[in-house]
Amino acid sequence: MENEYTSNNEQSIISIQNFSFAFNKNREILKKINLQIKKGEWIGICGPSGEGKTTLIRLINGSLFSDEKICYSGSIKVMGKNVKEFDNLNRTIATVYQNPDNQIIFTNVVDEIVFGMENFNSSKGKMEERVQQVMNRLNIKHLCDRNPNYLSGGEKQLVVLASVLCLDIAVLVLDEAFSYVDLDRKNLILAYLKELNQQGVTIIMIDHMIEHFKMVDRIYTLNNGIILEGA
Amino acid sequence: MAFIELENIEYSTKKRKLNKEKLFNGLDLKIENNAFVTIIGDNGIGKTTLSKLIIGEINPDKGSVFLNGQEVKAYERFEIGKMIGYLFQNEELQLFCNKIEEELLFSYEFGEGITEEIHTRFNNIIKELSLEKVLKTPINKLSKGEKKRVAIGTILMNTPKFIILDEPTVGLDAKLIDDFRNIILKIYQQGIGILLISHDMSFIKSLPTKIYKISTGGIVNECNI
Amino acid sequence: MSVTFDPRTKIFSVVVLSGMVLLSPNLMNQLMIMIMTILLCLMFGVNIFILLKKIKKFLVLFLGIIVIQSIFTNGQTDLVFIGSFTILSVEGLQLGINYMLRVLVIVFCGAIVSSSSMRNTMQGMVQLGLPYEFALMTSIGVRFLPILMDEIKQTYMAMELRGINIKKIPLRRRIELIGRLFVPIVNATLVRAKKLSESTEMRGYIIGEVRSSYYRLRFKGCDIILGLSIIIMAFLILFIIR
Repeated sequence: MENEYTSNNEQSIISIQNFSFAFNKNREILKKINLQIKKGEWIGICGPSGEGKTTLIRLINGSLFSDEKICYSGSIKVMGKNVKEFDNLNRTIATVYQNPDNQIIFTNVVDEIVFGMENFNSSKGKMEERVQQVMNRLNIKHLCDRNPNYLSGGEKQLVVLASVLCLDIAVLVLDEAFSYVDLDRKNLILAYLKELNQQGVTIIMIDHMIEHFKMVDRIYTLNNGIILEGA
Repeated sequence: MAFIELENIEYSTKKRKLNKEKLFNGLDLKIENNAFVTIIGDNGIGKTTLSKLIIGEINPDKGSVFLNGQEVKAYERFEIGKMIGYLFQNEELQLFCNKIEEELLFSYEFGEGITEEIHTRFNNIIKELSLEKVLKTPINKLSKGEKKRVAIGTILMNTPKFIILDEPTVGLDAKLIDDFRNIILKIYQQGIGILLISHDMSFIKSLPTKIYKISTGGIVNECNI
Repeated sequence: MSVTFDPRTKIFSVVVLSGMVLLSPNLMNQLMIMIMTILLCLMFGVNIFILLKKIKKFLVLFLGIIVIQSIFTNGQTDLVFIGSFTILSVEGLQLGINYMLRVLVIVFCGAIVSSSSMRNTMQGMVQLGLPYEFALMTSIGVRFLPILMDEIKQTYMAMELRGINIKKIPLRRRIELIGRLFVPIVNATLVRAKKLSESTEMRGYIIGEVRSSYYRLRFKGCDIILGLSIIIMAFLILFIIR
């Protein structure tokens, strides 16, 4: 049964229905998750560590489905289409994970920031404009000639975030993406996210720190494999 | 003399030397025995660099670092390790075994040998860190919080005088941070000094710690938050 | 050197030098290739002294190779010997030095390629016609070598900080200890490789898809002049001044 999805109607951009998941038969990580996220919503997910939050987003963004050994039931749909059959889902959902050391590729900050836009085949003019814009907005202009691998943890996270914030993407997923960042720049990030959200970008944010959820529309807690609304 | 003393430290990374920029241009800091000190500051200001100077991983361009009255460079690395324990930001880099008992007894297996006293110490530490339930679980299957506790366990086995904690609460949820706080307080009450590097303000606020903020150039000032 | 050369010129010079090293017929020739390599290093801004400092420890190995070659080669001109046992011979010396020069040229070639930034070298490879995927993968591999070295150092330090006096441990146990050092490292490397490739995908990377480039390399006059000079020098060294 396919949902008729267009970007205008009230259908959820991400629809998780009765979804259960386990890496192996011994331990079920997610238990009958039901979650509907509408286009343009900004939702936060919190909960105890190791309970499945990262697993959930790796299912939503499709990366776990390339692993054949997983067991699951129920469905996850993005824009009405089943994630498992969604070609090039990464052009619709961009994800930033927590550890920047496992995400930084290049030896120059600007090279790292433009990587995402190059993947999207953006024009040179647009890339130049967006790079300057995002570096200004996140106050990392002074890092432009540095090698990201030798930056501090927070600076590294800022660089990885910057590479994703300049994309034209429908859904942005952040998995504790600014845990090492200082307070001032965290506020800059949240302000930038707010702007993107107002332009229609759907944001899913996983975090432990409640301060980061001050601008979200709804908060969910994932505890013991079950998702419930509220903090 | 204070247990840890940094005197007029000047330091630049290789890249900064090319730009004639100094990370530290005259940093002074004294940390007393049994003190509980937290270092805060913006990203890239030098918090981790400071801790690396203290354990002698890097040497200052100018100035001296003293540990227990003697210059750090006069000690052998393993001697420093017996005085100061270091919890890495990525605790996985300091875990070498797959069984907790093996891991905590690791340095004695390759060093002085495992005596009755060492075994008693091991049992006490396991109890203190509430690791009894997961004692038989392979380390690679432990949660991040449990791995950090195992790493702390390996540090406590050496009965250090000081422990450096580098951003220990990142990746831990509220409950685990709570558990971690209790462990730190227990350790502090035993007379072991704590040097905490963190930017988790709510965690810092809940601790009986003196706070030092590093500003540009390595200026260290005590502050209240 | 205030002139910056196109990374493709560097790649070209490295290919030529490697080829020459394989084809060179004698020690004299090898020495000339070495001189050519040093000249190119200077042109490309490679600091030879720092490089030699880094590989100082390995030069000792070469001494060992010279001795081994001397012992096992049926040479006629002994230089250093004990009774009928040859420790150093002219032939051995020649073979050893020949070998050392070849390896040094390759090491310098590596430094020449590394003198351009990773992204620039990748762009050079792509504009030379190689697929982006290949350029990305090889560059990431090379890029992570210093990180791996750094992590090995950190883990070794963590081991020392455990209070283990590694120097006092007998050799057999030390080997076992060093083996344990690789437990966290190999684990971390495998995990990192998987997570890195996932992260590239999560930022829109799709193998084989059309992608744009922030950079576009263009040859300058100096590249053309140097390129031609390299061809002429190679021809002279390999075929004329044999």
